[in-house]
Amino acid sequence: MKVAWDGAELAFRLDPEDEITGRAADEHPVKLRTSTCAFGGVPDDAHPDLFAVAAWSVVAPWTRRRITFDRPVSAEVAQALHDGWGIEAGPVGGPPRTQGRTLAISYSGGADSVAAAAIFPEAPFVHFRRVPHPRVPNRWTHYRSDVLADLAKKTGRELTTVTSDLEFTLAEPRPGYPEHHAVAAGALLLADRMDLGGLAFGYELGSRWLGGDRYLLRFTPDNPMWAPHGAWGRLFAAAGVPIVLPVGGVSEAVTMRLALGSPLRAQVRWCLQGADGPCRTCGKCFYKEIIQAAVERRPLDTPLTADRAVVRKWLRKPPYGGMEMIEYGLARIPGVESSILAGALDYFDATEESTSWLEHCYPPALAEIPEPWREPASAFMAENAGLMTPGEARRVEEWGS
Amino acid sequence: MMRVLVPVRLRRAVRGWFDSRYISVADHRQDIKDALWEVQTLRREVVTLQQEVRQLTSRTGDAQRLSKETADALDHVLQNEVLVWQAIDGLKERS
Repeated sequence: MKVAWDGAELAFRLDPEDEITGRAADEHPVKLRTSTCAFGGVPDDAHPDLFAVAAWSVVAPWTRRRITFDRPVSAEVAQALHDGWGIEAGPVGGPPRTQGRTLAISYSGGADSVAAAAIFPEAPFVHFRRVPHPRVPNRWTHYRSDVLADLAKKTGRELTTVTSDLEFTLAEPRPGYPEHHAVAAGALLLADRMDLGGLAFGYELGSRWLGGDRYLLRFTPDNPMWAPHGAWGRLFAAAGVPIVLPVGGVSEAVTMRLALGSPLRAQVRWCLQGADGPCRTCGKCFYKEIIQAAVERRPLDTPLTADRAVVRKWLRKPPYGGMEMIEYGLARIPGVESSILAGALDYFDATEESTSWLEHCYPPALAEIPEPWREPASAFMAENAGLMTPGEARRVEEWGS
Repeated sequence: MMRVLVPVRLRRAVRGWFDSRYISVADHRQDIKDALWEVQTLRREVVTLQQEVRQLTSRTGDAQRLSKETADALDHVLQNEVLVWQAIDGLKERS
């Protein structure tokens, strides 16, 4: 793979061993559409390591053996690419980037990143906003990145919005981040200007420790995406922007509770499609409604019916990503047995007791938050969620076994 | 039933008064004919409009299909462009 930056425009070329179909860090196959993308709202004079890691977050799935950057990277970043992926990176030269002092939050506006924002009320936001790609007809106009960007503005927090079309480099499964970390590409390019020493994400217990989303669906202490000692964790740290997961130890029930109780409650939005409010009919709206109903201990409030595909998705036989929250909902939503979620009861023996671990914080998640942010995050969790008992922590550690 | 003898003049006056206030049977017939004619015209118009709607929907369906196929085809063109550059770079490296 060869990458070249022209200002904030990235272009890349495949080496002979690279292929159109690659794999993201979670092993999911991803197909390349086009090999250019651009960023707006970022400086063009960032440290070479920042350009390198930002580029890697886009091209990693399609790189097999080596990567050639257009400017020398530090030996530290080259080493992290070698250790994490077995990739030869070059040219190598120049000093590594000095870690800054500020923690920024990669802010999407969803419940998880709002919860992370509640823990660090002074931290500035970096918001990623999708814009169309000049070479790709936009068939996804229902995706309202403009609405999310406007909501981010209304939070009143210090905000930098980065625009990018990088998601259109992905043809399959659909436009999206080639690697989950590509959402941070803009924040990386801003790291020098913002004096960043860490970047906080809203990834929660399911993503970090339970191998959730489309990953392994089992306990993943060595998660290559989010563990500090994983490939991505070490690469971000080598560029002086270690990954910080303030809510990595708590479930989506806790992040939902924290988000709804936070000063940003009015701006929380997980739906990517609604314009004047959440659409209430997409898969994400329904999943989050299950969690919110459970947290608020009220019946499900949805216009959907059980025959809709977005509902049937949660009536499948486990395992699947997010199943812990379905079990949580089954145990706590009043009248769930006569709701459209009733079919899921066949697969779970859900009780409040069996799901209580999802209300507390998994202590090792706090231990891996880098200083100086570990202490405030730990204090916040102790006060607002409480720590898991050893028995509850075992539920995490035996997950999927 | 009781029959009452009404003077001819009075009878005419009353009839005349009635006739001036109400539409005649002949006029009614004509009105109904006109209405029926209008219904027939409207029916023909509805049929024409239905045909037009059918034509237009099939045309938007066509446009939709065409735009989707064009976008899909463009994906392949873009991918091929990447592969062509890969091949060019490979040749350059070899020579």
